[in-house]
Amino acid sequence: MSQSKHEPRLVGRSDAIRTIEADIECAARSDAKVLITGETGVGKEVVARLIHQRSLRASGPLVTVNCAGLPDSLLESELFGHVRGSFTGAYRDKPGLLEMAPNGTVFLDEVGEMSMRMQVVLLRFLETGEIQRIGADRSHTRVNVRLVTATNRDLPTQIASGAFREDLYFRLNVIRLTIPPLRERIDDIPLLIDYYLDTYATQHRVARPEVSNAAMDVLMAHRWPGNIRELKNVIERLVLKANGQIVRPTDLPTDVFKPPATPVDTPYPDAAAPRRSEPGSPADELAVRMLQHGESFWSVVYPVFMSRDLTRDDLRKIVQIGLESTNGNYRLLIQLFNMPDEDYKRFLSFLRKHDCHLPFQRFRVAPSRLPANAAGRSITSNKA
Amino acid sequence: MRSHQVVIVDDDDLALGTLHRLIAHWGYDVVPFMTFEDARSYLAANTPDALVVDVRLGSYNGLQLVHLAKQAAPTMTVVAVSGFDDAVLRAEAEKAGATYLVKPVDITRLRQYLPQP
Repeated sequence: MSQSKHEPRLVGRSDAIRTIEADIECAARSDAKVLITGETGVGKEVVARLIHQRSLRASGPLVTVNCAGLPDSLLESELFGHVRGSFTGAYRDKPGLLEMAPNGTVFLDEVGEMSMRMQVVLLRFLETGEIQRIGADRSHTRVNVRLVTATNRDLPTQIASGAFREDLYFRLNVIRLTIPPLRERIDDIPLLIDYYLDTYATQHRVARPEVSNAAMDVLMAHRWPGNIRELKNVIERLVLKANGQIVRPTDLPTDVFKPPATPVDTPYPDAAAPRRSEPGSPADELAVRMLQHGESFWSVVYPVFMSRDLTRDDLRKIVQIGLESTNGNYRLLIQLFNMPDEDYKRFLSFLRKHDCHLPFQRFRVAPSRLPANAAGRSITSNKA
Repeated sequence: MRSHQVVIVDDDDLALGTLHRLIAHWGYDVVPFMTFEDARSYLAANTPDALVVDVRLGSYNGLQLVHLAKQAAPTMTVVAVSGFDDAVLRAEAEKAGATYLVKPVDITRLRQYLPQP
């Protein structure tokens, strides 16, 4: 849950990007509800921000709510607010995020994860525009907000299986914007890599590495299941570990570059070894889903931990895998686990509450002592 | 004199055929489409005098075509037809500058909304 901060932009020159730009213009000029669809990590939130910024509501707030990983009651309270005493811990009246975005835009991410009950609540809100806080016996106020929603789910399939309401779908889906996966716009990959090399080198104040032609070919041939989010993670780790050197194929994580069966000549022989061939522990598998497929900690790890299908040891192991990849940096870990920066405190307090917060110091290694191809190696080193 | 052009979009071929024959019979030049994508491509390059569009077009909402058409040609006559009398969608359609008619469409009213041939 966050307020708009960053200046977003779309990087690329492909036909797909041009179509999205045209769709964004159309959506921004109307005031209609928008549904953004696309695989995980394609940049749905960036598109939502652009629509808001180019619309007549640009001077109003943009509020983002992620519907995944939040229990019903908490999501309803976040959106609509609650009155004092409505549940344990409700010590005072609290306005919902819908109320906090007057004349602005509310971006509901992962709307396909909403329970049936919440879908009904949202449907009612769309009909009346009225806010009824949890525990209140009547509606509190009316708000003028524009709803932009996003999902990586195929909602028509969910409608067919009875998991999503068709009437809600057609009300949310007035203007639909579909963002293609990165593998369908390969020509944009070099531009994106250049852009993120610059961005992360500046952000981390390190020398910008160059990507060799061979490595670029590998990057363009990769299928990028986690899309731009995965690409950003890979590039950020390259920038941190390459130390301004030229990036070669063997420097890339092995899920991007699969080395030939014969060992390649590398100063770090273990980098060429297959790392994830055998089935991993639950911790490894969940880490792979976040690191490689761009899924969020809140949707991948949190629910299984809360349902006690994941032990504290597993959770600690996941944190360890992350900290090994980020050199002990919890802020970067938030990004690596695909959470918005604003979740930093929430994430740390979650770890502390369950006694899974690991001290960062022992993961701190001076960058110059790291092999350039150490990025992503953490998963095996953790298994050892 | 050129007859007015009416684009009609409906993913139900029976409904599309009926509407096509009827509107053509009234003296309009009718351009029919069954899919959102085809209608969208056509509207990107052409400006008809009127658009009659079904709200439920497969997984798309016909109102998206209304927005595209109205942004390109604000004076175009647009009628959105829907099998459901949905207050939220009716409001969306009217905000976009379209008339919202519930199926089965009252043909006298529909004819009334189209530009006179």
